[in-house]
Amino acid sequence: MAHPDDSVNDRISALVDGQLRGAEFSEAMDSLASQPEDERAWQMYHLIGDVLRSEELAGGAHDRDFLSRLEQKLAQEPVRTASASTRVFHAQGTSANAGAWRWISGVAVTVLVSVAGWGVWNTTSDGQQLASTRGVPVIAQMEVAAGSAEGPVMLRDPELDALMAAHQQLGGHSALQMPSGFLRNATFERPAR
Amino acid sequence: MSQGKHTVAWVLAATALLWCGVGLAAESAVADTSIHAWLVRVHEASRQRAYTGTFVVSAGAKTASAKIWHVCDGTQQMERVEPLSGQSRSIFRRNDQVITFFPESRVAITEKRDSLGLFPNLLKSSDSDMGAHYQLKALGNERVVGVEADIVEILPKDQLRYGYRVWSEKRTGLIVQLQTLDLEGRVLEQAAFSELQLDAPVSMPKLAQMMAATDGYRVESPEMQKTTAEAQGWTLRRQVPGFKAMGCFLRPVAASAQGVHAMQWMFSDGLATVSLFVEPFDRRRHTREGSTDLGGATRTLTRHLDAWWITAVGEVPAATLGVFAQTLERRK
Repeated sequence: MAHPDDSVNDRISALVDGQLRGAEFSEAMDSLASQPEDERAWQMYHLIGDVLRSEELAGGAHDRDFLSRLEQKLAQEPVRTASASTRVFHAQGTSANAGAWRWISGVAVTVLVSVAGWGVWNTTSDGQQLASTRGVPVIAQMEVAAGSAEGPVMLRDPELDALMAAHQQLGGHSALQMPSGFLRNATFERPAR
Repeated sequence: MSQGKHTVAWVLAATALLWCGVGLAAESAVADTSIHAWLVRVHEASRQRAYTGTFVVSAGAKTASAKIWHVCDGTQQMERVEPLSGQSRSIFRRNDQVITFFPESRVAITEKRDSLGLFPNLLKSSDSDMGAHYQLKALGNERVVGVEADIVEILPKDQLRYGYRVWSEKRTGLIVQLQTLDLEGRVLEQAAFSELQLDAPVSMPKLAQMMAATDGYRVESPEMQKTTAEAQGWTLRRQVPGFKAMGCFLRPVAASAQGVHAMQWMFSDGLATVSLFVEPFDRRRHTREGSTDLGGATRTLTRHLDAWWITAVGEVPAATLGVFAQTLERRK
């Protein structure tokens, strides 16, 4: 089944693998900067790759906060930067401000790429680590329509449902599962028995 | 070339800040003892009290509710759950023994859920390192379903697990409301009593009598066989941070021919659980590779690996399932 998310995943996985050049690269970067689902896929690929390399890299929850703080800081920066570069931008015949903004978004992209590069290339002597990152793109996000506010548009896969039920049946390993989890699973319909 | 210098400075600053971020994440557990103590208290709460109520679970767009009877005499716990939605059924539990009556088909399924007895041991064991992966944060208190409740957040220290917001009854610690939170703190799923009567007169002998009333029912047990991943030829290349193997079973594949079994290998970090299912790859059935989000906290992810089809299921972010699926390896 073709799914709109497939193209997102293909594009992001190609980007993560460094396979995009020229216009394709620019488009992917634009999309990454503006589309939350691109960003989620980007984060997911890198997190998987990171954890496969070293479990200490699982603690990247601060990355996104950091980037959004950085973006805010950058947005507060332009006044000084613009004045410093006024002559250059005037010479180009464009508004100083617009130029500064372009410059800043360029920096933002550079920072993003450097962060990404750090994630992808900060490997040790184990050459297999990159290969394992490349192996990751099998993960395509196929969000089967569910949970929409309009009502139950369920394209459910009965086999997957059966496995989810099997998981929940034995899913008592959680501290919170006692007793809430048992009640939760007993309350929630088991699709198959 | 001031632009170039600026760029270099920014990149350096960014890298430095990023390292600080990584440092923060690796900070050691401060709330280790308190999260432990809190969980023990919550667990004890369900052992000491008798209560009845209505329990409501909302996951994604789906909502289900059930009537609950719970009683404990200090050693034995008994529970009766009458779901109000979906297929008609009654569930009874005595400690780790569970029986589900399906009145329409006159079938009763009996199971022994080892996992239900595992938790106290898990808490008692010294290798429980929940504090290394979660931190406990008190959020004050609130009145819900007629009881005063303390609110705590159990927040993950990395991106491999979800957080929880828990309302527990002030005096006893009984969990009256539980929310599962995604990495951005949004509620993925909620389980809560919509009505609760503490210290209700629930009769254990009566529940025991109902649980044993299998006359007129065909009593079945799920065909499950205990095994080990090692015996099935599977291993994890490395441990997924915080997750320990909790057990392994073989179960028949419903959609497949007789004799085809899937392995179910279970893991837990103390709060979240993950099952890895491995079955022979079938070109007709196994077409969709990738992650699925059906709403709620439970995610699934599938992967084709040589002659095998792997399905990872768990109350964890998709990336965590990805790590499990990528780490699973056929032993040479």
